[in-house]
Amino acid sequence: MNAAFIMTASHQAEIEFPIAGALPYLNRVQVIAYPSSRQHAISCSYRDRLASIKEILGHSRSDEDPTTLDIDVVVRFSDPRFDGQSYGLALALADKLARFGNPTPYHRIVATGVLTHERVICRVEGFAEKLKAIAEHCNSEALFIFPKENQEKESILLTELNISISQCAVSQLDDLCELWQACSEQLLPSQYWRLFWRGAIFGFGLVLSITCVLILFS
Amino acid sequence: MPNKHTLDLLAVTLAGQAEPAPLESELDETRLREVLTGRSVLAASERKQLLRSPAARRQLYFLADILRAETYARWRQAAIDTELLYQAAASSSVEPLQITSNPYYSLSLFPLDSEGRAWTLYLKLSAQLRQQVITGVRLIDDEEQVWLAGKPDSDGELSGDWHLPGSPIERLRQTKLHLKPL
Repeated sequence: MNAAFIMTASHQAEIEFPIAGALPYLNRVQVIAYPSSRQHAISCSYRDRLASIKEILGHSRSDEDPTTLDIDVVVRFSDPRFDGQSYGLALALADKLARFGNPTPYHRIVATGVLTHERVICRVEGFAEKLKAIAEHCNSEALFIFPKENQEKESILLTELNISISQCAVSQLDDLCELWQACSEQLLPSQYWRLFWRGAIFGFGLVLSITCVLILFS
Repeated sequence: MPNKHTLDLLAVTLAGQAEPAPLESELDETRLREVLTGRSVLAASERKQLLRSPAARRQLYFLADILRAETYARWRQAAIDTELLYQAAASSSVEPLQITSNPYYSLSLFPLDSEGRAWTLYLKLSAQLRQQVITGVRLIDDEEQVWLAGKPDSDGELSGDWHLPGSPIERLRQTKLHLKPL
């Protein structure tokens, strides 16, 4: 028996993240989500990075409903040759935006942060060099998201950043949920039915309880 | 990853290499097994020896052949079917495709653009097959072209970009795929 499934369209999201070093630059992570393909696949051709990617997405998705968890994604980088974990926040955001399909109002998002257990965003090393990369390569309107831990130490440098770049310091991934939740408000059909049946079961239980009480005390 | 031209140049250089004097001791076979099965990586001194010594490389290839033969034997004993066939009507649309006709592994093809010029392949091994993989796997077609090769991760998953000419969907209509030990 030949079993092959043709699936429909894809959504993609790209988030930039700064790379520190001798020549700081902005790298880019792209996540392509395939909403009708549901194997819980995380595909990435850069095999030495796959374990790290799976770990980061495991943290970022830890509070999600099963209906969004198993959407297949492909992860790509404009330049896969980089070190460190500070791309974690950018990856998590791109993954959320791609799977929830939210057309974010921001034309460009730059993010840096180490994503850990319980979706906590930790400070990054080389923050000053990363700010240099953003200052040099980001002249247009953009949203720059970074760890609160770095804000406390680098507040002076942050004030010197281009005024057209909006800044957002966060300590939890959940602080950014508005970026992807705008579309998730349009519930998936399966969620409608789940809510309906939960309501129906609760209503039936309530009626049954009241009836039993009335019979007992009559 | 070096390009093909660089690799060809390296192959020619290594093929013409003479054994260094004095002769180096053989590499430890237990260590080589660990490296070939993904449980360890080569130390700097071991990498250096492999680059300098044709005998060390022959030792590695021989051990890789033994491990490959062991894997073939395991797969035969477990009666693992390695063939994957896709039959469908021609379609002009560019969409993801998942082939699940083999109970031991599935192959998904994800388009990376709307024109179908670039694809990524995603191979998922069943739990049973995962236990029978020692060194890695390669997915080849009837013409022995390698579609995907490498060691699946702990989830039995292996991905890679499509690198052969043309569309993988068109190729699938003309050829069968076979999974083999690496």
